Amino acid sequence: MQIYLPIAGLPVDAFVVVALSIAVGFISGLFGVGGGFLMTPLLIFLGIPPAVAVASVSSQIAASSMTGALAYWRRSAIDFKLSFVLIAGGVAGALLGVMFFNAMQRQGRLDAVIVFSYIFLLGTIGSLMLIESLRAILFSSTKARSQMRTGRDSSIEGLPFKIEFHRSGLYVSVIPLFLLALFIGFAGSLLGVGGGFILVPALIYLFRVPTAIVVGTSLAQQLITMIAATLLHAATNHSVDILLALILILGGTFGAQFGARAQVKMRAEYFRLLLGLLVFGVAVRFAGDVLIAPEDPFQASRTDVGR
Amino acid sequence: MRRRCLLFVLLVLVFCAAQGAKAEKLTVALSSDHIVIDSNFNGARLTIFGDVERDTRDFLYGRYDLIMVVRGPSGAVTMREKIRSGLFWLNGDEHVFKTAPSFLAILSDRPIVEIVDYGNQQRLGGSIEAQVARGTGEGETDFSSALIRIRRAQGLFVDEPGAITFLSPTLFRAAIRLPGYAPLGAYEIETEAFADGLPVGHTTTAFSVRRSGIEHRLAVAAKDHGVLYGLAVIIMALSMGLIASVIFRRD
Repeated sequence: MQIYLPIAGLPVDAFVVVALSIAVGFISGLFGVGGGFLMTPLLIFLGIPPAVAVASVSSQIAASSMTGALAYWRRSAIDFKLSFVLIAGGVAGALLGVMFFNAMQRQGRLDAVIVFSYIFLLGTIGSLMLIESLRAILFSSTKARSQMRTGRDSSIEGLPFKIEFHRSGLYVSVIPLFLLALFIGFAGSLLGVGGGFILVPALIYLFRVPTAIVVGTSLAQQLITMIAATLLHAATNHSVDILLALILILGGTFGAQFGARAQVKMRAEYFRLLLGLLVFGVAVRFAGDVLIAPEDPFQASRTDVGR
Repeated sequence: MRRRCLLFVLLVLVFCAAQGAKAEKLTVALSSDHIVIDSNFNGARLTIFGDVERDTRDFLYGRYDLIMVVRGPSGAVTMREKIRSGLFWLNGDEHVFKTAPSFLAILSDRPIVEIVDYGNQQRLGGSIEAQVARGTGEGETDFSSALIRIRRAQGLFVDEPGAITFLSPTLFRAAIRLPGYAPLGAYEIETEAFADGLPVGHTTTAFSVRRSGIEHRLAVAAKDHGVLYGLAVIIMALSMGLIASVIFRRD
């Protein structure tokens, strides 16, 4: 069944988009990740303009973060003080990200920027995940884990503006936290990803935030940052497609519930290996776009007709 | 005086004869004068009916031929060429056509070369290439031929000899297929009738493509009231997130 997306200005097969969002939702529920890093690229591969994909997925991430954050809030597993610092950084980053997004769009470089950023970001993180999980599988997993937890970086210890975060049992400078959230807000609003897959490991390994609190806190940051990103995209580049967002939210929500309930008996290292392969695979697919000679080197884009 | 009178009568006769050759009345009617794009829109088919009213004083009694040029709204198109730089294929040269037609269809009852001679083809712009050159006001370049290639592949530029069928010697029917990507705006249909290779009638009709109520309102709201539209999307997203958290609550 074809439906017409009013903002993207093109018809898409509704079943394909629904199936895609359920599948991505399932994966995100299964692995406990946001899924934006999969959803946005898949929409771009489907032929939806990158700007519309990025802007619309932001609202889907806001919806799924809402569900997630509420669940952690009920279990009081959110450090509000910490998430406040992260939100401040995230919203500032989203503002910069959308400004950069608009500037690149005006110059006609947005598509290339998105593709290269995905290659770089997912390529780096995917290969790190692959190396880490393979090392854990091949050698004893406990050894790999103990290597990871070597304590906080001494360069972070020396920074000023230290604040005590009681809930997380942290006494740390707000500067690196703010900068980390700033980067995630920037990349997230530029690429249509929540950034949980960067923020969670960073908070655990760099700042030693307790694992019980880290996911809820990160979801709270994602929620507010993606609300800001959606609003900024809608207000400045008018690329948020409400119908696409609705389909993504519906599919993503159901998929995530199935994913979270799926009883998969698998060792954590294999889980991380699979996720790493997935992340790396998307980077490879994007790399193919710029490495392989295009069928037609010419591209035409309407710049002022109705749609 | 007599000679002058004769001359006048002769002139009138010549004038009438000249008019006679062009006196066929061409009537064209569309199945609908506007096409509405709603959420199920996946392209549309527009049927055109028409009639060539034969002039009784006509000297020509051969069959009629028809050529129809359908033009969509024109607008700016930016063309980019990907070139290899080092390892990567990146955007290189860029060219902007300020007034490129967004949709073009050239329909006829048989191949245009069989209908008219070269001169009339030139006058008519009876090919996609000629129509694009006319619309953009630019000669043929790599960019213009790429534009034509891309738009043809999208079904936005078509030429269909045989899309017009005569139901009787004078009554005809044509079908225009608009793809799902059909741009919004005013479309113009120029129909010209020929008899024995000579133009005998000409008429212009129009139709428009527009979004249906809700799609149109959404698109307008997104453009004109970005902040409110954004807030609406956020409220929708958050309330669905909230509902999901209530429905799927596990603790």
